[in-house]
Amino acid sequence: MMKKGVVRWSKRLARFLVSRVLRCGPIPKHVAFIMDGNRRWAERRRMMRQEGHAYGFLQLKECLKWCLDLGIKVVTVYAFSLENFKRSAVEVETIMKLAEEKLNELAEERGFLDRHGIKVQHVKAAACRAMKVSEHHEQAVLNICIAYTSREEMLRAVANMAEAVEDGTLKPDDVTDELFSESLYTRPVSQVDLLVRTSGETRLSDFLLWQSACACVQFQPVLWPDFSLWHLASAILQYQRSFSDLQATRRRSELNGREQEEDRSVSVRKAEYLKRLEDRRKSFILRHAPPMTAGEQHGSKEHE
Amino acid sequence: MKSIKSLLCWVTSLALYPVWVAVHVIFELQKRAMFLRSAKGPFLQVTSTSSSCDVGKGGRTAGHVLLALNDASFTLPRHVEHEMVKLKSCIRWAFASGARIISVYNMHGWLEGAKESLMTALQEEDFGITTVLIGENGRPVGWIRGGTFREGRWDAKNGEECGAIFFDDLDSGKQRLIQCARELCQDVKESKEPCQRINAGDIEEHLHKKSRCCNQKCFAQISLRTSLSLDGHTCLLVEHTSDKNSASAVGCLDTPPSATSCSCSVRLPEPEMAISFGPAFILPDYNPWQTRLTEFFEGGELKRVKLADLEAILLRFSSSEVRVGK
Repeated sequence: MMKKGVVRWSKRLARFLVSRVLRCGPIPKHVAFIMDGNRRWAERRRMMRQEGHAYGFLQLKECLKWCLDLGIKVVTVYAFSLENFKRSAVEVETIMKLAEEKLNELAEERGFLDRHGIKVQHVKAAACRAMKVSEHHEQAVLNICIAYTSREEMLRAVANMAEAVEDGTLKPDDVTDELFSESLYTRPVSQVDLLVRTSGETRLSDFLLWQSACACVQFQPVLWPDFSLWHLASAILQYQRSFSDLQATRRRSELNGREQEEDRSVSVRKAEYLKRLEDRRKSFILRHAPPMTAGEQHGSKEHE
Repeated sequence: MKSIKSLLCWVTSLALYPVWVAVHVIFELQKRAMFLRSAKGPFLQVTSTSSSCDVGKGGRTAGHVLLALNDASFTLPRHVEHEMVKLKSCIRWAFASGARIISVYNMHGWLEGAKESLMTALQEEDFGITTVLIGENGRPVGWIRGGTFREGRWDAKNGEECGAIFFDDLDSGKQRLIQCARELCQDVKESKEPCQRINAGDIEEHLHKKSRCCNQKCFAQISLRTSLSLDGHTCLLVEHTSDKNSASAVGCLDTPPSATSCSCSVRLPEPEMAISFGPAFILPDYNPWQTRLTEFFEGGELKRVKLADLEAILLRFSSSEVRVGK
């Protein structure tokens, strides 16, 4: 019993020291994870694939704690792609049930979300409850991409802008890099600073294609359930070493996209369009989230 | 309590700062040691494309390779000249590995001032296959066969294998997608298209490079690796290795005197492999719509790239598997 306590405290101390060392340098604001390798991990251990996904989720929880310790403000994770629907019906159903169960758990763990000020957002309607419960938090953001592809996201952004042009809210020339980024699901912090993919694959697989341009990337050979604090630390160190080149690349990229200073009328149109997008998102959450429990309502009022 | 905690964190950070510096120094020393170890290896010299690389035979090959140049450090003309020699070798290596479309995308713009020189330097190369140089806006500059560069009409033999080198402008990146979005919004405004019907096909249609070539449609479903003559205009077609049943027209080399507006577009397939050259491994801001399944590899600094590095990349690429969600 005492030995377990010592081990636990040692791990906490190691985590604290590693995060303090890393925080001496620049920390990425937005980190994206492609959590690949759950099934292969399960196969190597002769376990069911569903167990691999369950372990993967536990690993995600640990990883989020490390990110909080490091001061990373936004974390985006690729939980399930639209392409993954090609998998067997049993596996898809298991993953969706797991996502639903864990997101409900997350919504119930108000303490954790409140303590760290985490706002949960995700790009498909599966956890509106978690989103509703955490909508007032500002300190950190967790984006969970379920049934998501980047092309669909970009297409949706173009369609939204086109709709705004059709009804006169925007003009075609109002479409800029910045407005496009604000129209994506990951707004307001779209630009990814560090992208980590596990299992050794070296492609993005239709994940955050727009947002991860000019991002530092780390393809790590480890499978996701084996992803440890040291792997994350090595990725952050690599980011810190590439920081000056990253800044230079982004400055160049921004120079290419820079438009002339926009006048007031353009800003007003854009603000109206973005407000409409935000209202639409909020009404979607309200429509799909189950009614809040008394405890959740009380928590929200306290925060207000 | 909070202030004590933050004071403790601050003091710990100050005490651990030397550790952070030491870790970075160790990383840097490790990197230099690796460079020195490999310095004795063969420099990048690929002399022939007639025989494909042995590495990766039997595995996947990339039909379209993207060379992303991401080094902000060199701006002097002598740096550029040195890099051009390496770049030519990389292009030659890419053709030898089986690629038939090479895109050179420069993220920092150093290639802008050197594009003419690079084009001139490439015109003296013999890549072993007829190669077309495509410059701004997808317009063919000319073609090279046996180390001789020619402009104008290309009398290709039926079934002749050919390749293409694209010099992608800085606006090949996100700006192209923004331009496409603006054009679609304009179409919606002019009621050419209702916004609800915008689909992925519309975006792809607008993303194709437009080239002022001729007033005839230049591409059609034909067999691979052939050139096509339509109404006396010779079109270049390049093999699209990932899709065996179709070919993509790259452009027209022969513009008739009566040419008016263009109805021809250059349909560039998605790059299967992208090699990012630069001191840091940064994802290029190449057209995000087209990098969905692209395999990204770190090439390191262009001035230090070795043949062994590129062969290792090819080996990794050939052994990778694309499951597409399954």
